[in-house]
Amino acid sequence: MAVRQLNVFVENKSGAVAQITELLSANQIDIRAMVLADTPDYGILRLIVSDTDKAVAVLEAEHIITKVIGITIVRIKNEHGGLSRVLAILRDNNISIEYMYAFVAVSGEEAFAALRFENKEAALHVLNEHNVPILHSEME
Amino acid sequence: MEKRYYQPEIETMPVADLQALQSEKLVKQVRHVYNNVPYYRALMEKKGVTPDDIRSIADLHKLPFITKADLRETYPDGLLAVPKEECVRIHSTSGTTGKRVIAYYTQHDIDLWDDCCARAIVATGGSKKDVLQVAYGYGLFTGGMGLHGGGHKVGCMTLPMSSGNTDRQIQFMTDLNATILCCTPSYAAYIGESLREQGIKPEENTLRAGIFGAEPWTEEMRHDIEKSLGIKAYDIYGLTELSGPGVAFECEAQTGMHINEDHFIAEIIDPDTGEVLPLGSVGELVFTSLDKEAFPLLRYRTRDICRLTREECPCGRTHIKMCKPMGRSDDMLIIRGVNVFPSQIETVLINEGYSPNYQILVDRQNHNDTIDINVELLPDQFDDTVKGIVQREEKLEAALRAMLGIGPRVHLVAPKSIQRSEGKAVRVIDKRTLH
Repeated sequence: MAVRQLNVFVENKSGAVAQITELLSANQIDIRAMVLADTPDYGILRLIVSDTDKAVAVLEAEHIITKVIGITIVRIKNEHGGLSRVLAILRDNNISIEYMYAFVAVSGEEAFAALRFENKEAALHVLNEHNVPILHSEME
Repeated sequence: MEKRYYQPEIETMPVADLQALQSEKLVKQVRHVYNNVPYYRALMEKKGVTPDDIRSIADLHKLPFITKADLRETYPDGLLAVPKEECVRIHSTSGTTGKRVIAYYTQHDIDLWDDCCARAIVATGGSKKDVLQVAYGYGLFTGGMGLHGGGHKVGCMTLPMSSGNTDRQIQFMTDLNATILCCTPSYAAYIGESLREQGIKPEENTLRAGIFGAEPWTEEMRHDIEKSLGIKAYDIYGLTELSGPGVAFECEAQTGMHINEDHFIAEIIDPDTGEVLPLGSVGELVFTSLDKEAFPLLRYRTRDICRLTREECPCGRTHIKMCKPMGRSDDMLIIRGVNVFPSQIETVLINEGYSPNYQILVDRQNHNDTIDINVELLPDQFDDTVKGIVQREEKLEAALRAMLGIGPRVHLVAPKSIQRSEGKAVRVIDKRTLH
C-alpha cells in the first residue's frame, strides 16, 4: 500500500494556507511533507500528515475540499546523484510523472521523492524491477 | 445633390398623416392576425376585444401584449400568420432551444426590412457610390443579411464579409476602399485596434461612417470608435422578433434613433402594470408591427427600458425618436451582441453536475465584453492535479459555449467562497457602464 497524500483545494486569498496549517496544528496533526501547486485562480496543497483521516474530518468540518490519494514514495540515498538515478530509470522506461516533490528524513541520511504517475502500475513495475526501494504506509 | 432620405415622402411625412397611415394599417393588421393566428385570437378573446374594437391607433391599448413567453410557447410556428409556402426566409434569435425564436419572412417582409436598413444607410450620407462592408454575422442572426439587403436597395457595392477574420476585414477594407462599416460596436473597436497595431492611421483608411448596433454601447465608446477609425459612428436598433436591425436608426443629429413609424408603432409602458405611459416617460418599449405578413407581432414587449421623444429634428425626419435602451426589465444580459440569460448558465452547471452556487462577472476590456463565471467546486469534483481541474474548467467552458454561443471563462472556486446574500442571490455583477 502506498503512502496517503492529502490534497487540499486552496482559495486564492491571503491566509488560506495558514488557516489549514492552524487547523492541523490545533488538532495535533503533524505535517511530514508539504508542497503547494499554484495557479492564478487557486492552489492545490499536497500534504503527508501524521493522521490523514483526522485531517480530512477537521478540514471538511470547515468546508475545505480535500481528496486523499495514494502516492508513491521512493527512498533515495542522500548522496550526489541519488534522485537523478531514479528519474533516469523512469525516463528510460517511458514513465511519465504528473508531479513530484522531494524531502529529506530527519536523520539526514535518507531522502524521499514523492511521485504522482500517469500510470501508477507500470511505474511500480519498473521501480521494482530496478530494485528502487518504495516506502509503504509506515509514515503515518 | 446628395440624397438625404431613402424614402423622403414617408420619412418626412407630417405627423398627423403618419398617424393616419398607422391607424389605417393597424386596423388591417389586427384583422390579419385575428383571422390567421389562433393563438393571438385566443389572447384577444380572453381580453374581450375583437377587430371591430380597433378603429385607430387610439385603440391600440385595448390589445393584449405578446411576450417572450408567448414566443417560446408557440415555437416553432405558432404565430405564423401566412401559409408556409408564402415564406422565403427565416431568422432566429440566439439562445437555447427553449429561448430560441424563429421569425418568418415573406418577400414583402424582406423588402420592407431592407427598406428600413436602406433608410439607415442613406441617413449616414450613403449612396450607390459607397462601398458597404458588412461585418455583422451572416446566417440566422439578422445583422448581416439585414444591412446587406439595405446595401442592395441603396445600390452600394456590398461586401458580405460576415464577422471575424479581422486580417481579411482589413485587407478588403483597404484594397476595395470601403466607406461604410457595419458591425457590432465592440467589433468596430476591435478592428480599430487592429488597424493601429498594423500601423494604419485613422486618416489613411477610406471609411467615413459606421452603422453599429445589436449591443449596448456608450457615448464614450462612440467617441473612441470614431477616433480609432476616423469615421462618424451611427447607432441602429432592431429585434429579430420585429425583422432585425433598422427598426430605428440614427440620423446626423444623433439625438436618438428615428423609429420607422410607417412600419412599427412604439409605446412606452409601465413594466409592472402594463399601463401606457405618456410621451417622454421612461418605461418598457413595446412594438406593434404594422406591415409584417408572416410574423406580425402586436404589442410585443421588448423588455428594453427606454424613452420616446417627438421633437422637431434638424434632419427633417418626422418619425418619433427612441433613446439608447437604458437597461432591461428582465435579467437578460447582452454580451458581445448575444442575448444571455443567467438561467441558461444555471441549466448548464446543473447538467454538468455542478452546484447552483455561481456568479457571473461581466466586464468590458478594450471595448470587448468579457464574461467570467465563478463556480463552486463540489468535494467529489476535486482533483489533486492542476491538469485535472483545468480539464474540468475547459469541459464546462465548452458546454457553456455550446449553450450560449459565446465563450465564457470558467473559474472553479472553493465551496462557500461565493458570497451568499440574505434574499435573492446576486448572480450577476455587470461592471460595464453602458447606460
